[in-house]
Amino acid sequence: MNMKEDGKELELFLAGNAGGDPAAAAANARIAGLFAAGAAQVPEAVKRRVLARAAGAAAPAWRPAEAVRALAFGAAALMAFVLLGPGPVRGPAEDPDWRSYDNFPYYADESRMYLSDLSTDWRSPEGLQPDPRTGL
Amino acid sequence: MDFAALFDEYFGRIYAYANCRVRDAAAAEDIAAAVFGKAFERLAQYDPARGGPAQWLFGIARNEVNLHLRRGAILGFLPLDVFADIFRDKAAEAPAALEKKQAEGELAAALAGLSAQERDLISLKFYSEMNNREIAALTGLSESNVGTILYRCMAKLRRELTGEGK
Repeated sequence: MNMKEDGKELELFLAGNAGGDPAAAAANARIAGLFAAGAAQVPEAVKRRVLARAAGAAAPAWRPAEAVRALAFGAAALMAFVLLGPGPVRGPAEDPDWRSYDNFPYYADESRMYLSDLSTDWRSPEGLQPDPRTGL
Repeated sequence: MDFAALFDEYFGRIYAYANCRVRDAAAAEDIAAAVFGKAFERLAQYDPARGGPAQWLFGIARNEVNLHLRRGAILGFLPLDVFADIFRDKAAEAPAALEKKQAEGELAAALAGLSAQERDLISLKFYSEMNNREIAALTGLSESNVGTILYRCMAKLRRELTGEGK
């Protein structure tokens, strides 16, 4: 379809729509004129801006080769992190037995002494070791 | 196909079509830029056997306009039009621009009386200059339906512009 045929198509449409009525034909011609004016009077500055933006938008941000390279590099970085990274952060090791002295580090020494029969009364001064620095 | 020739031939009509549909010059400019951006990008994919360049470009334009209108429907509750008058530079309006604005205003007022679908079809008819069969293929309507709607649109526009039948 070329522009010549296009123009003829519109002419035929307008003529057919007027149905032989001269007043309707004149009104149709006026309507066509208003539409044509809308297309013909677009400012040059707008045209230049649109052309510049269209060219900018059409420039692909990623070319296939670049995308493949980026993907390979990303995968390698991820593998290195997984293999050489610090690994998952572990929480403090806790004995599943909630009563275990490992779960109560502040009382661990006393508890050990009590459990190993060093002192029947863990609060007894016999079982407590003096502090090497203070002697107390 | 040469992109520069395509742009020269169709830019005004695509812009005017978008402007008719969205009734906002800035949005029409955005839409025209998106249409020609996509056309430039997909120029190699254009297949003349599937339709002329007008059908191809107006197909893209129609999708872009519909996308814009859908976004507008979501953001429509923001009354940003109140700023339009504040930022308009009245001194910069040359007489030719005013004359154009007057003509556009006349057309815009007439088009305001049409439904969204009618505005779509009538602006496609005048700007793409496709026949009813091609418009039907683009819009998914039947050819006879397109003809009926266009006939009704012309009658409405004549009434609006000439006062005929009022």
